[in-house]
This record gives sequence, C-alpha cells and structure tokens, in this order.
Amino acid sequence: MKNNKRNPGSLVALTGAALALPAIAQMAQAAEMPTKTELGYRYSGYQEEDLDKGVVLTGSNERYDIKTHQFRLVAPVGEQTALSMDAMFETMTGASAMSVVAFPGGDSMLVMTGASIQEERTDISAELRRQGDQGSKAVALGYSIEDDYEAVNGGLDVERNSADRLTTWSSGIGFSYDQLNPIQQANINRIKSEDRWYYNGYVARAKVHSPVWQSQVGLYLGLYDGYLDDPYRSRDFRPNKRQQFALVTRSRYYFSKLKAAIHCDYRFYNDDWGIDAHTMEVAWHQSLSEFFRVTPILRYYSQSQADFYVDNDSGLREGEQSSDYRLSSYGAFAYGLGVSYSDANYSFTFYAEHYDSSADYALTSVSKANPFLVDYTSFTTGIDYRF
Amino acid sequence: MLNNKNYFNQERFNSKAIIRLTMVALGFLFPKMAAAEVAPEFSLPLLDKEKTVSLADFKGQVVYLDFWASWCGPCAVSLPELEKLRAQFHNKGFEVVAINLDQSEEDARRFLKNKKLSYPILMDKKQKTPEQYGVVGMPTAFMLDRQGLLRETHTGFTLDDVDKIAKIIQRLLDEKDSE
Amino acid sequence: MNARNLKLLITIFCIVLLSGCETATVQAWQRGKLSRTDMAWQADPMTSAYRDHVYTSKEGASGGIGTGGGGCGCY
Repeated sequence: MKNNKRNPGSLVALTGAALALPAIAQMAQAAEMPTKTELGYRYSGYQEEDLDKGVVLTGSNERYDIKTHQFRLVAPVGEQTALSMDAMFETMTGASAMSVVAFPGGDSMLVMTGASIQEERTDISAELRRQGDQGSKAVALGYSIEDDYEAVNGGLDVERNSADRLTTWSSGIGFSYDQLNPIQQANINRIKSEDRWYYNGYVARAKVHSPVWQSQVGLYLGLYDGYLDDPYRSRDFRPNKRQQFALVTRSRYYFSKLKAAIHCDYRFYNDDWGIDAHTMEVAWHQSLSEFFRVTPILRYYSQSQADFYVDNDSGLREGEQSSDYRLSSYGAFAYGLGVSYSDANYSFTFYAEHYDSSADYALTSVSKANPFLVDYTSFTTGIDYRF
Repeated sequence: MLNNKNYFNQERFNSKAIIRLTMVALGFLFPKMAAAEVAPEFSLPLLDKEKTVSLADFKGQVVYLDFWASWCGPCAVSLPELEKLRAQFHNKGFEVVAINLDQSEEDARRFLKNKKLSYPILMDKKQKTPEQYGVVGMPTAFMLDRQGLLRETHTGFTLDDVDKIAKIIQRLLDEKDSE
Repeated sequence: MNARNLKLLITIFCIVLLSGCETATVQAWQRGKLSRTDMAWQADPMTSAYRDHVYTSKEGASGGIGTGGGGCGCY
C-alpha cells in the first residue's frame, strides 16, 4: 500500500543478498523441444516465525509474510524453436532488522522496523531456445522491479549432445544490472541511488549411466561489482566486489520395482568474502498410481561466516562490517512434502515446507549465534495445463 | 583433455548404424550403384491380439517401419501423421508397421487409448529389432520398397517432415510401374 | 577454504568432469525411465524456481541452479 511507503526497511533487506535470480539460472531446465503448449500457475504463501520478543529492543517482532503468484508459458514456436515465459508477482508485509545492539552482559538485541511495511515485486523473463541436430542454443532476458529496486538481466547458453546422446555439455554466460533507490526516512542519512553489475557463467556435463541412472556435474562462477551494502542497516559496509564459486552435482536414480525415483543433490559454495557453504538435498518421488505421486524432501544447508561479519553494530568500529545473519555461521534443515496428480493434459501440485535454522546446525562451531536467524513455513499449490 | 574427445568421436555408434548410414549416403550419391540391403526379417505379436505378424507378410508393399515408444515426445506427433499418410497411399500398396518398444504393454495401451490407428502396432518387449536395424535415436523409421529392401532411414519427427516422407513414399510406389 | 585447497578442488572437479570411464552403453530405446518427469533435474520446474528464489534470498550462498541433458534423448 502506498501510504506505508514511508516506513523504513524494505525488500532489499529481504532479497538483498542475491536479488532476482539472474536469467541464466532459470535457463536450460527443459532443454528438450516441447511438443505441446503448457500453461502453469502457482500460488505460494510464505510465513516467517515471529521473533522472540526478548530479543527485540525496539520495533516489531513480526517478520515477513509473502504471497507469490507465478505464471509460466512454454510453447513450441515453429518446428525447432521453443519459447518460455515466466512472470512472478509478490506482495510482502512484515518488519526487517536495522541493527544488532550488544549489551555488556553479552546478549544481543535487535532494532527492528515498524510492523506494516508492504511492498510489491514483479519479475518477468522470457527464453527462446533453438534446437539443432546435436544440441540447442538459447537466449534469455529478464526484468525485475520493486518499490526501491529495478534490474535487467540476460543470458546465453549452448548445449551439445554427444553422438550417442548419453553425454550433454552445456555452458552459459549471463549478466544482471541492478539499480537501488532506497526509500528515504527523515533523520536517517541513506544513499539516494546506487547500482551494481553481476556477471556469471557455468559449464556442466550431464551423463546417462544406465537406463535408470543419470547425473550432472557443474561449475559456476559469479562476480558482483558495485554497491553491495544493505542500505537499511545502520552500519553495513561491505566490499564492492564479490567472487562466487559453486560446484554442483545432481543424481537421479529410478527404482523400477518400487516405482520411485531418488534425487540427490549437493552443492559446494565458496566466495571471496570468506563464506563456504554446503547444501545437500535428497528427494524421494514415490508413484502411488499412474497419476498420483508423493514426494518427501530433506534439505540441509550450512555456511561459515564472512570475514567481516560482526555480531553487533558498534558505532566505534571502522572499516568493512555487517551484522546481517546471512553473513553469519549457521545451519538449516528444510523438511518438505509434495503431492501431485498428473495426467496427459492436467497436473495439480501441492508442496509444503518447514525451514528451521540455527547456529547449532552449522558444520563449523559458532561462538555467538545471530538472533535474527530465520524459521519459516511455506506452501505452494498450482495447476498446469497442456494442449 | 584427451579423454574429452571420446564423447564426440564415433566409437560409441554401433557399427551397424555406421554401415547403414554409409549405405544411405552412398545410395543418395549413386542411387543406381549402391545395392540396398535386405531389411532384416522379424516376427512379432500384435498389441492386444493373439496374432503374430512377420515382415514377410508385407512383401510387395512399400513399408514405413516405425520404431516408437510411449515416452518419446516426437513419437506422439508422428503416429497420427502416419495414419494420414496411410489413408493417402494404402490403396496404392503402402503400409505403416509400427513397432512399440515400451517394456510395459500397459504404457503403450494407455498412450494409444484415444488414437484411432488402422495400421498394425507390433510389440517388441525384448527390444531385439531396434538392435537388428541399428536404431540410433527415437523415433527412427525405415522405408522399405516393394522388394523388401531398406531404402531410406528417417530419425526424429516434426510436422515439416511429412511432405518429404510423402514424396519418398510416392517415389517408391512409382518404382513398380517403371519396372 | 584457502586458495590452495580451492585450486585442488577445481582440479579434481575438472578430472571428474572430463573422464569418460564409467558408462555402459544405453541405447536410444532404453530411455523410457530416464524420460519420466520424476527423473528430471527439476521434477516441477515452477515449484523449484520458487524454492530457489526463497533460498537465494535467505541464505548467504547462491548459484548453481540447473542445466539440461539426460532424459529422453529423443530426436
């Protein structure tokens, strides 16, 4: 709502670390030429657990509540070209952290914004993919806008199959240009407008090992260049460059007798801010009948802290510093359960997830837990129609 | 990097496919010189029928021998188009013979449920015939002349291919008249 | 992780990536299971996109979301 715009805090705090998914991240997921047109819709609700009132010094203890609509169109256009279009609309309400204050006893407390920020975000992207005899090429463009933030992104990717089609090499490059125009508040000296570039690239190899097993391994590089601070935090000074590296492996195995597929994914992440992270996900896709499927998912995430992470915002400290929990050491478990019905023309899906993070779950030992670590529950429901 | 080369070299192609492709290429360059290969004989059961069908049953006809499976996207495009081609050429001596390669008959049956196809659907659950014929991709079709010789191979299927296939069928049907 | 370990890791990764050792031939007509939607890299791409969006917003690490390959292998 427009009348709430004067409230401090914002989406940048929410999506600040990464912002929109760059176009390249969404490419090449369905590289095979579609033979039908498919329309999809998803509605998701996301709710973060309230903060313990004991850790909030001022402001609201209510955290984000987000509603998301997603639309997708995938269609063949001509014999060898496929178009996919995605749109995402989000509305969010809730409060975000402005600073972490340390007390002599060792406890940290949060200075939060007021409760009723409401913001909207729109994200659209399109991809055109052309199939050749032994591979495909694609180009993608995207645009993202929020009240205080605007971004354009684009990417190219190329896929090539081996002659026997058992091995597929793919590689891609992408960019994103983001502009931030933070919402101003009286008596707080915020930046007016800043920007940043993001460049990324990857190379990956998918391989068919047997009639029931395929795997993928990929190497990803990313480089941020520009303003990377969180403008809504009281003392947030980060480097203006960030180099990211990720190694991803995925495996898909089918148990014919059980009529089930197991998915195992692992990602190692490292950046020059000093963060190492491990992400593991196991999903079991159990077919109950020709049409029904149930999918439990377990995901584990752990990261180490950034070199300049601080557990409180002291006005006396100079140089690079941030108390953002996303730069602290912690670990998280996500438990998900999906149910789907799918026939030749329709699919109906429901997925629910609970996310629980804690310094105790981290692989590295943590001396002082960040009080702002997030726990949330989300659900997604939707329909696909093919014709 | 040396290992990398393995992915793109031809060693993984089975040798029958190479011979066949070479013959197709030669046949294209020197149509009168290359001796076409006799299509391998087979005998397979019809889907949901007691009857077994052999390739020999179609001697004297131009045959479009199609290898397909329910899970193959382009195959879903091809089957109704083949029905139209059959309607167009059947009375001139043309037949489509579709060999299903699903491992479960149920999958094939489900896939065909709302499709009205008048050509024979044969089941090869043991998947021997695609090996005999050197199928390299899904779908693959072989076009046989009235003498039962392999004359053309067609891999993949899009709607753009229909005209091209119709022309070949017409050419193979016309051959008898000129002989 | 220091720079030397990282280089070692990248080297190991490249060797794994480029090695072509382990595969027995899978014929074109044997890919029925691989082409199932529950064997895809993303079984439900829209829900995956949403989940990736949430994780990317809430966690320090990001990147490495998905590419193609495998599956039907149809022409």
